[in-house]
Amino acid sequence: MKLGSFLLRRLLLSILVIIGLSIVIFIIARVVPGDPARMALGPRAPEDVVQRLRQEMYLDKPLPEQYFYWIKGVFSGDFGRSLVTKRPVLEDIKEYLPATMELAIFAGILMAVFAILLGTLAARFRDTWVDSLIRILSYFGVAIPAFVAAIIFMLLFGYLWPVLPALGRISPGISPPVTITGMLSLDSLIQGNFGAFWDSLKHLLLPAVALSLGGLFQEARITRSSMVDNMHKDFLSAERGYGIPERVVMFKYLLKPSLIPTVSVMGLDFASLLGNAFLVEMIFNWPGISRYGISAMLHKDLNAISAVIIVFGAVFVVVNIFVDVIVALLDPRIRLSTARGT
Amino acid sequence: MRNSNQFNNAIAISLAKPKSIFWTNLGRNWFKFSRNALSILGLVIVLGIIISAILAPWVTPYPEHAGPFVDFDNAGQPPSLGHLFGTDNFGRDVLTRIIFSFRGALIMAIVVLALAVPPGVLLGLIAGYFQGTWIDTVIMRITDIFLAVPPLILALAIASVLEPNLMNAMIAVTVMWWPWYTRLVYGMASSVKNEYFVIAAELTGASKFHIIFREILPNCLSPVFTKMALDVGWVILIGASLSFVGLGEQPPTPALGQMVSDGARYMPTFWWMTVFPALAIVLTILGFNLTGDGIRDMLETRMG
Repeated sequence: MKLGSFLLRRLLLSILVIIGLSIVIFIIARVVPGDPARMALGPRAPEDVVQRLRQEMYLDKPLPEQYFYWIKGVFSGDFGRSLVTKRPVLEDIKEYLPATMELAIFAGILMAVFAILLGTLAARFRDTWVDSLIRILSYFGVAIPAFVAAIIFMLLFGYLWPVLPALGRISPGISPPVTITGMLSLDSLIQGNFGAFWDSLKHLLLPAVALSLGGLFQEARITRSSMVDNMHKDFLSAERGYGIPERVVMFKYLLKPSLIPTVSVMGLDFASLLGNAFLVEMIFNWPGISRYGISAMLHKDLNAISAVIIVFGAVFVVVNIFVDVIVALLDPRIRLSTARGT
Repeated sequence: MRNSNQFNNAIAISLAKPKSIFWTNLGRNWFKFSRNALSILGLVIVLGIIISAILAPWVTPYPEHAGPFVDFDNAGQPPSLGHLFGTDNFGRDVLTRIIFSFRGALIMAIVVLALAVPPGVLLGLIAGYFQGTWIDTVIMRITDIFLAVPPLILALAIASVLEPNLMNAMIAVTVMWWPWYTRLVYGMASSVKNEYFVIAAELTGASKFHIIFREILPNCLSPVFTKMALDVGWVILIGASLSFVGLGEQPPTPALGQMVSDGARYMPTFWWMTVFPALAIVLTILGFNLTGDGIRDMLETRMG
C-alpha cells in the first residue's frame, strides 16, 4: 500500500527528528550558567545535600552519559521533577496539556473553516467589493500579533462590552464535568452537561479567535489565489461542458485541488498558533501547558522546559503527518511520488 | 560522457546567461514598485518609523522619558495635547517611549537577518550542490530538527535560559531563523546546479568554490532578498512577543512588547498605556509587510 509506506517513512523520519531535537534541548539546558543541582535546592542548602543530588542527576558524569540517562528517562515518561511545582513533570503535563490542546484544536478548526470560507468567497466574487474587503481585512489580520489581538479582544469584549468571559476555562458557579479527556467542552458534551458545555465554549471563544487570526487570513489569501489560478484549467471547462451546474463545479471540482497549498500552509500556521498560545494563555489566564511552560522558562525550570519543548515537538510532528495525509488525499500525484522532503 | 554538441550548446547558453543582479534596472524596478499604492503606503510607514527612530532624541516631545525617569504627579494622564498618547504609570510620555522602542525593534531586525541569512544561505548552497550525498543528508536533517518545534517556542526557550536582554533575544531568534533560508536556498540550488551554464562551468574545469559562489549563488539571490524583505516584519513580531514576556530589552529602556504587557496590568482604566504600543506594533508590521509584498511583486515579475 502506497499511503501506508509513505506514512511509515514519515513516522520514522519524525522519530529521528524528535531524537535530534532532544539533543538540541539537552545542550541548551546544559549551557545555562550555574549548577542545576544548586538551582534546584536553592542557595541555602548544605553542600553535601547538593552533592548527593548532583550524583542523583548524574551531573558528575560526562555529558554524553548524562544525555543517555536523561533520554532513557524521557522514553519511559520520566522527565524529572519540576523546580516550581515540586511534582514530576509528567504529572504537570498530564494536567495542563488537555487545556492547551482544547484551545489549539478549537482555534485550528476556526482557522481552517473561516480561511476556506473567506477564500472561496473572495474567489467567487473576485474583483468586487467582497474581494477588496477580504483583502484589506487580511492585511490587518496578518499584521496583528496574537498577543495584541488577545489584549484588544479582552479590552473590547471583557471590559468595554462584557458579553464574553475573559478569564479562565469555566465560570466559578458552574461545576466542571468529570475528567475524561481533560478538554472541558468535550467532556461536558459527552456527559450531556449542556450548561457546562455552553459555558466552556464561551470561554474558549476569545482566546481561540485571537490565536486563529494570523493563520486564518494568510490561508484565505492563499485559497483565493489558488482558486483563481485554477479557475480556467481545462478540466473545469470539461466539467462545465458536461453541463454540470456552476456551483457544483466551484465547490466540488475547483475547491478540492485548490486547497492543496492551503492545507500545506496550515501545518506551519498551526505551529505558530501553538507558539502564540504561550502568550495568549498567559493573557487569558488559561491553565494550559503553555502558561506552565512560560512560568518554567521564567524560573529556569530546566526539566519542565525540556519536557514542554519535546511535547510540542511531538504534537507538531503529529500535526505535520496529519497535514501530509490530507494533502495526499487531495492530490494523488503526491501519494505516488516518493520524495516530499519532510 | 556528454558529446561535444551538448558541450557547445552549454557554452553558448552559459555566455548568454542573463545578469541577475538586483539594481541594474533601478528605474524600471521603482516604476513597478510604485504602481501599487499599498506598496507606497508601506514604504511611507517604514521610512517614517526608521527616520523617527534615528532622530528620536530630537523629534520626541520628552526625550528624557525614554530612560529611568519618574514623575508620579503626571502618572496615568489620559491622552491630551501635551501627551498625545497619555502617560504611563511612572508619568512618562507614551509617544516618546514608543518612538524610542522602534530603535530596539529595528536593530533586532537588522542584526537577526544579518546573522541568520549568511549561514542559512551557505548551508543551503552546500547541501543543494551536494544533493544526494551524505553532506546533503546531514545538513538537511539538522535543519529539520530546528524546524520541528514551533519557532516562537524555541526562541522563548533559548532566550529564557540566557540572561534576559536584547542581545540574547537576538541570539535566540537568530538560532531559529537560519533554517528557513537553508530550506529556501537548498531548493533553488539543487535545481540551478543542473542548468546548462553550471554544467558548462564544470566542463571548463571551474573549481567547486567558483561554481557554488559565482554560478549558483547569484541565481538564488532574488528569492533570498524577497524573503528578507518579507521577514523584517516577522522578526519584529517575534521580538515583540519575546519582550512581551520579559525576555528582551529590560526596563527602563522601552520596548514595544514590554510596554503592552506593563500597561495590560492597568487595563481597562488606563487603556492608552496598552493600546497605543499595541497599535504601534501592528503599524510597524503592516508597513514592513506591505513594503515586502511590493518588493516581492517587483522581483517576481522580473523573473517571470
